Amino acid sequence: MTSGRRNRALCALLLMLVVLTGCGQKTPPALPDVYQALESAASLPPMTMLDADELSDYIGIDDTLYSSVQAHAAQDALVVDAVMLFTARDEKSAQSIEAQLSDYLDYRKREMRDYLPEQYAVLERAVLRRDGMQVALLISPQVDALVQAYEKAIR
Amino acid sequence: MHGEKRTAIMPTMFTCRGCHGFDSARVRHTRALLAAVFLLMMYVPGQASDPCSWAVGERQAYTPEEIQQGALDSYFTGAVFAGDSITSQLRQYVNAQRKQGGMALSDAQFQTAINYSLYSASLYKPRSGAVNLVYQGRDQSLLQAVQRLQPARLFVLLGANDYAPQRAEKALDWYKTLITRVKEVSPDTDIVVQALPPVSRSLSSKQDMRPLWDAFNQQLQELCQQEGVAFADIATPLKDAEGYLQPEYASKDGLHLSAQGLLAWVNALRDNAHERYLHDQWTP
Repeated sequence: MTSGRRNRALCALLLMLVVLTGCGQKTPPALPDVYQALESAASLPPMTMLDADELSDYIGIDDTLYSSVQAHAAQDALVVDAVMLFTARDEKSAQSIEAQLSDYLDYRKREMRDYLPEQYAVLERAVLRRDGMQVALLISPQVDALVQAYEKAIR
Repeated sequence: MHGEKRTAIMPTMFTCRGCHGFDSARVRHTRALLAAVFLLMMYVPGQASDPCSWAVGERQAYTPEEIQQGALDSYFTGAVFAGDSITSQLRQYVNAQRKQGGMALSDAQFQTAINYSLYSASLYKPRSGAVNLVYQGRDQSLLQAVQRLQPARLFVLLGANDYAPQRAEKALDWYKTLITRVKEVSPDTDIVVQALPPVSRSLSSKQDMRPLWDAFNQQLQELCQQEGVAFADIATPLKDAEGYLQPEYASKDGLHLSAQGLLAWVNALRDNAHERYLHDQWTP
């Protein structure tokens, strides 16, 4: 093989490598970092982290659906603030997580509708979104600040 | 454990502190020894000569410190707490304690919902459009949860969202239905109905709610006796001298409990466990 051909082959190989890397899936954001960014962006009440059992029993999100999670809810049962972040295993799982979170949000609204109107108002403004494999439920009186910080963190 | 406690008391009872001479000391020691042996014979269960002072099977009381440190918390093993926002607060409190490595109510589980009603709890199936309990993201009734979990003990605190003290007759009917149906779906479950916590002074500014609340709790206790289930008076330990919820136990809204109030509630439940233990109604 002449040096010209060798160089061309090398270039092609490099090009292929660049293209393949570019087409590959983006590294998902580290959810603890995302949560930290959200915590800094809004003043959340004292929160407690939900474990896999709680997520499964209470919200119906099984741990087979996600590869990473940061789910926090207010320690006070009468405060609805919550930040729930998931990296789904695949597209179908992301849809399932989104559907379960939507049901959870409806349930919280039912609990609060005739009970604590100011908390119900916070739930009305809650944001549920899916960005590829990332699914987030943001419930806070400062939800706009959370959304801004979230967009920046997952970019 | 109880034997250890008792024998630890005995030596201090018979310590001879006033001996002057060897002989008199020996006589006194001998007498003391005989008295000790006599008392010990009376004390051993099954050999009591005076059943009034040393009842057969009588259980040794725990100290308040031991109770509050959770010496009898096995009472809550395999238990389920069912309730509304008040019990939801207890759930959050207990979960926080557990996550910090603390011990709280053994491994008890919670089946609660904000604004959950006694009426809903008395139904076999979840009520359409109403607040129900939730399991794996789906609505379920308390009876479905009890049937699924078959708890060793079920603690119930409901009625505030039904205005139970204001319409006691209906509420007591719902309680009766609930008790009957729990027995049906989980026959081995020990049912413990809890009194409604007292109201705070701030909620009684227009109308004194205390008499209503107290009367309802009294009727509830009577119902429990009729139905053969346990009643835990968690209200009295939370009251101040005038019968209102102690201010430090009340949250801002006057209806729910502060962290201090929740701890007082846990301790009231522990006291209830102790009382039932002393009456031979369960064994740790």
